[in-house]
This record gives sequence, C-alpha cells and structure tokens, in this order.
Amino acid sequence: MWLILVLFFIPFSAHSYDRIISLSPQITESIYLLGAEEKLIGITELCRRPAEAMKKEKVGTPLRPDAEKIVSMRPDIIFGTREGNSPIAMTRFERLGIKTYYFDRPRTLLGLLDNFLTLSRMTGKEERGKRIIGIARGALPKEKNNKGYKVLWQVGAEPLIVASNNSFANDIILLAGGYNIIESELPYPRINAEEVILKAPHVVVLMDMGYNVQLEKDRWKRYFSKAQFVTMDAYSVGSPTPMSFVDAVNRLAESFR
Amino acid sequence: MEKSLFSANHVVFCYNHHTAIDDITFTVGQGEFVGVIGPNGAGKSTIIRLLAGFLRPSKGFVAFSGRNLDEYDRRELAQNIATLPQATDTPFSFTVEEFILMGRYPHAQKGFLYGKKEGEFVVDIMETMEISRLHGRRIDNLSEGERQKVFLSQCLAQDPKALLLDEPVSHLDIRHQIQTFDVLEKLHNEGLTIIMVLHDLNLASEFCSRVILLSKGRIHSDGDPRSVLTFQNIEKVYDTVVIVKENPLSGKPFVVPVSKKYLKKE
Amino acid sequence: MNRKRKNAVILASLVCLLIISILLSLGYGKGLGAVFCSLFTNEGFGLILRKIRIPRTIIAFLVGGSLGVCGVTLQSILRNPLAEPYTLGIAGGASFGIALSTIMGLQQVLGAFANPLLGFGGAMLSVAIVFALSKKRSFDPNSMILFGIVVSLVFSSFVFFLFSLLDPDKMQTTLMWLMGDLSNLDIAFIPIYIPMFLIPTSILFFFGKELDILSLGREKAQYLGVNPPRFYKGLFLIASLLAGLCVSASGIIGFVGLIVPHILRSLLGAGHTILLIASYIGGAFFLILSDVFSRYLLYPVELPVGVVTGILGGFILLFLLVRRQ
Repeated sequence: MWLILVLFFIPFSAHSYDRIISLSPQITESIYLLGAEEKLIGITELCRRPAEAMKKEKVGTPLRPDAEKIVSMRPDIIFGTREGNSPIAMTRFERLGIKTYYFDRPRTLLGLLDNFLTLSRMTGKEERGKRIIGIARGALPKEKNNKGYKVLWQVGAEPLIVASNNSFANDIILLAGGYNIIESELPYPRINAEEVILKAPHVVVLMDMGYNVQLEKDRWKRYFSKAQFVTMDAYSVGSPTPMSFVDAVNRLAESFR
Repeated sequence: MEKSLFSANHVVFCYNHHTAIDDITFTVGQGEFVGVIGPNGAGKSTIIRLLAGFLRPSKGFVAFSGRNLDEYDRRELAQNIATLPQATDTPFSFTVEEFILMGRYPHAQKGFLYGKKEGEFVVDIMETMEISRLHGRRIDNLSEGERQKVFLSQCLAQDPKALLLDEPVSHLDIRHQIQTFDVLEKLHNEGLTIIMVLHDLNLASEFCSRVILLSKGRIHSDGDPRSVLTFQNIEKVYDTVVIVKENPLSGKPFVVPVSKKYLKKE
Repeated sequence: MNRKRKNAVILASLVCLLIISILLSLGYGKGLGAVFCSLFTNEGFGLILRKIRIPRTIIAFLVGGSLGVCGVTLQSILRNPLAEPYTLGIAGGASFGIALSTIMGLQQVLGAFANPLLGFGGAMLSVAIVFALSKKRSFDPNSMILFGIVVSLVFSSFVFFLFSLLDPDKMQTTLMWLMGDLSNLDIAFIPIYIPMFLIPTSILFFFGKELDILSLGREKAQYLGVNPPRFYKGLFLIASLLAGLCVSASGIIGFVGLIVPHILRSLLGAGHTILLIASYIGGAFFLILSDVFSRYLLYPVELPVGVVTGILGGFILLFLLVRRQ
C-alpha cells in the first residue's frame, strides 16, 4: 500500500507546476503562505483568505467547479481535497486531459504538515515550505501542562454537534495540553447535552460557523459559571494551514491559564 | 285533510350546463308512502337530494312543513328528516351501537358524550328492527342485509317525521328486499312519511301508495300504482316493451319486460 | 358493559405506560431515587434534570400528544386511516421557514426565537395557501389533500434551491429540522408553549361526536345535522395550528400521528371521543419513549428523534399491514 502511494507521489511531487487552479480554500491559503500566488490562476468562490485572494479569477465552488471556464484557462494542474471536492468533477477533468491532484484531509498535525510539504514541492517552493514547517513546529507550546484541562469543541448548535477525540480538531486540543471531554468513534457526532454537563468542561471552543456564538456562550455560562470561552473561525478546522493551525493551538493553550 | 309535509314548487336544478330537474311541482302529504321511479338519469337521486336539502334548487324552492328548506338550520332539519343516500360508507369499523348512536346527534345535548337516554333509545330501535343480536359487532363485519338494517336504524334514531331513501334495496337479495319493505311498511303504518327512489317497478307497485314516474327531469305521471304503471306510460318513458299483469296476491300491477325475441317482426 | 370495561382497562394501561415513560425519561441511568433527591440541587444531576430532562419530557409530552390528536382529526375529516398531521402540507412550508431563517442569519437578530418562529410562520403560510385554494372547492377533503401535497412539494423545491446556494455547513440546522429534534428547545419557551399546545388540543377533544359523523362523508354528515364546510374549515384550522406548533418546537416528527391513532382504533373501536383522549396519551407515550431511545441508545451520540419514530413506527406499521393479509 505504501509502495503504491510512494510511486504515486514521485511523478507528481517531483514536478513543479506553473498554472495552478485551486478548488479548496485550504490549498489557496497555503499557496499564498508559500508565496506561490503568481502561479495561481483560478480559485473558488469560497476561497476568501487571505484577503488578496479575492482578486483572483473565480471558477465556481468546490462542489460545483465551472468546467468550461477551467478548461478554457488551460491549467497545468488542478488541486483539490478528497472530502471537499466532488470526485465526479475531478474525474471529468482527468478525462479532458487536465492533471488533477487530491490531497487527503489531514487527521493530525503530521498529516497537515505532510500535505503542506507536498504542496510546496508542487509549487516549486520547497525551501520556503520547509522553513514554514520549521517555524510552525517551533511555535507550538513547549510546556505540556499536565493539568488535564477539559475541553468541549462545539462545531454546531441546534443540534449540538461537537468535534470528538477522533477528529482533526482533537489534535489542536492535545497539542495545547488539554483533553476532549467527548469520546466517540464518530469525528463530529451529534451529542446529548447531558454528557457535557456531566463532564463539566473548563474551556468551551465555539466556532464561527453559522450559529449564534453569543447565544451558546450565554447558555453554557448558565451551567458552568467558571468556564472559559475561545472562538475559532471555521477555517482553523476546515481549511488550516500550518500557521493557522499552530495559531489555534496557542490560543487554546492561552485560555488554559 | 292530509297535512302537506314536502312541497316542491317549480323546482329547476342545473349543474354543468345540464338541466337535471326541469320545472317540477308536487306535494307529499304526511303519512304517504311514495315511490319515485324512472330510467337512469331521469333525476331520481337529484330529487331526493333536493328534498333533503343537500342540493339547492337553481330556480324555485322546496318547503318542508310549510317553511322553505333554507330557513332551517341543519340540526333542525335532521331532527325531522332522515335521509339514506345510495352510498353510506365509512372507512372506520364502528360498532353497531356506535353507528346507530350517531343518529341521535340532532337531538342530543351538546357535550362530551351521548347521554344515557340516547343509549336507551338506540337499544329500543335495535329491538324494533330485530337486530339486537348484532350488539357489539362491527359494521364492516356484517352481511348486506344486516348492514342495511343498521343504516336504517341510524336513520330511525333521528326520530324523524319523514324518511328519504335512495335505492335502499337495489343491491339486496329478494329475501332482504322483502324484509326491508316489511319493516318500512310497519313504520309507515305507524305514521312515518316515506319517499323512496327505486328501480324495481314491482316493489314500488306492491308497497307504495303513490308512485311518481320521472322522465328527463320532469314528472310524467303521478298517482296510485294502478294509474301510473300502465304499459303505455312505461313503454313511453323506458322505451322498452312491457306487459302489465295483475299480481295474483294483491291485485296490484305487475310489470313484465318483454324480450326482443318475443316481438313479431314488422 | 363489557366494552366499556375493556376500554377503561386499555385507557388505564395507556396512562400507566405514559407514567413509566416519563419516569424513564427523567431517571434513565440514575434511578428514581436520584430523581427525587437531586430535584433541587444545583449541580450535576440536578442541573441535568431541571435544565434538560424535565423540559424535554414536557415538550415530548405536548408534541406527542398533539400529533396523536391531530392524526385522529385529520383521519376522520379526510376519511382516510392513513392520514397524517403533515398530509395537509405544512412540512414543506415549515422547512422553508427554517431554511430562510438560517440563510438570513436571523438567529443573530432574534436569538433562540428565530427558528421556531420562522418554522411556524412557514407552516402557517402553507396552511393559508391550502386553505385559500380549498375554499373554492368548499373544503372537499380530497382536494385538500391534493393541494397540501402540491404546496408542500413546491415549498420543498424552494428549500432545495436555497440549499444549493448555501455553504454545506449551514444546511445542518435545516436538515436536522427535517428529521425532528427535541433537543433544541430553550427552557424559556416552555411556559409559552404549554398553553399554546393545550388550548387547541382541548378544543378538539370536544368534537368527538362530530368527527364520528364527518367520517361518513359530506352528504351523510349533513343529513345527520352536522354542517360539513364549517367543521372542515374549523377542524382543519385547529389541526394545522397544532401541527405547525409541533413543527416549530421540534421539527418534523413523522409516524406518531399515523401509528398511534391507527393502533388505538383497532383496540378501542372507532368512537372518536375516546380515541382522541387515548391518542393524546398514546402519542405522548410513544414520543417520550422514542426520545429516550434517541438520547441513550448510542450515548453520548444522540439520534434525531424523527429517525427513531420513523424506524420504530415504520416497522410497527409494516407489521400491522402484513398481519392484515
């Protein structure tokens, strides 16, 4: 299995591409981080970070890329993610003779860094990529405080959906030195609020994801007068770059103090 | 002198540009047993519905006990007239008592449940109609004849002055047909006014004191069976050859339809 | 008499089942002793009890009972033992309201009121449309069903159209509403909801006799002294109001309004007065029980209660239909 993956990597990762279309906000942001934005000729409607990215040509949404437009722009390669993009659309591009490359959604920080490294090679910015990874690694909190801070990571309200110990967000919690009060096989389960009250978290992470953060804050405050609240934006979990990831970890660790 | 119970006055009824009833005037006195006959489409069911107040005349008016039907509210009308349409169906399997009890609605007090008095009334009716043995049975679990008796009982539970029936026996076998008519005759003798639509000319002849023959929305003949059920009238209205004899038991007219094979070639 | 005693026994058993389900809902996993002890404490289980379990049980009671009664009413008016509270089309309208509320971000403005309010508004909008259309046909029940289906479909199409414009994340709330969810209610709503639910329901209880007669069809009902258009209109309105309330409180929970009257009718007979009361109790019991399942079957993961009622109810219905052959 690994052998095949490696073989897969070689033809792709050895090559650097000059006309790139990104069908994922995470990849777009990472490309900017790598300083390879001049190679980026097309992005999706949902790619809103960084702000300068808004000036780039739009080619539809991750689930509905504008096939005609993309073909007419003659890209060297299209980048997408396995979870964020429709495989049917991607296969169609392949058939039209356009190279496509999938990144897997990372499950851990390691996976994230791996993707980032690959991306840096494919945009010809390997050096810079490695440097950024080094910086990110270095920025992680050094002292793992063993106080075991209990964290609730709320992804949705009405109904209550959280990131469990099997989610990507969990890595942020672990690296910050806390632990997730919700344990489940499912990464983003819909849970019974009783469990939260029972476990009484120290920190509640709320996300700017379409639900009313203030409302939730007020609600939880009623139960846990001493809880701390941290608000993360949707990107830090959905489309993180190494820098935004580490940033999130640090913010969470801050709240523990 | 007979008090007039129903009166139709120059009644016209149209729907969808079709004139079903074309200027009909007649009265029915208290205590009459009237049979309404005629070919399909002559307007028989429509007449019943007009008399019952379900349809409103396009022109003219129908009166009951001297008052225009319009002036009655539904409940009051239901206290006086009980109507059994051709199809009385319910998707739910009520018990026989529950079903008959519904007939007490026009008289019952407003409240949660029907009173004890109403329940007793139903028991009496079931005795009169000889269906007491059906107590506790569900209505979808009865024979045709039994069902008909239950439907009739529901009508009688309304304690009406008049009973309007639309082809109540057309789907029954001869035994149940006769049974039903025997019951109706008994009720008639006790003072109930009955107006009935039926297909069977001989049953009408035998049991009805008065027969109205309808044709194309108008009254063709109206009177006692002997004067209405002549072969001239029937052949004219039904457009088929008949022989009219005398019923050996009652002396009333007996109609025999004549098949083509018996007709002499012209 | 035999039948009366039998019915009394059944009713009594229903009440017992209801009480058991309430106790389960309050005390699951902790036992009844804990329920009474913790009732007034301020942390741990007491908190859970007062803030989560009790309000939720109350709402399940109100919604379940209302769905049962609504089901009975509509089955009689439409002369169809398979009619459901949502047959008259409020499902589409309600989900449209919720979708609108999500897109316009009304929660930021109206807080916790946003979704229930818009859900109810959407439901009432579709009721108003069906009502206006049905008026032209003097509220003939068959036409009402047709109009209800069409109106609901049209609204649902709008909802999917809105979906196609949205971020996938924002769809979560609307989707959950389509599946029925008892977890979202703010406790503050309970005092408001209690009278809002109980008043229409009590009104319906008084019309058992009329419902019996209406099931005979328009013509015969009229001959028995009931004024069909007036009753169709009134009962339809009250039932829709109730169903709309249910949707606004908990999203679309199917099968309760269908199964409960259906089963109880075969046990108690078709007399509507008893059926209405029994369906309230039975509906409340069924929903509270389903809610217990949805909460604890996969704890801490919670299932949408509409899914539980759908599966449970679906199987029960299948079983009944097959047995009838």
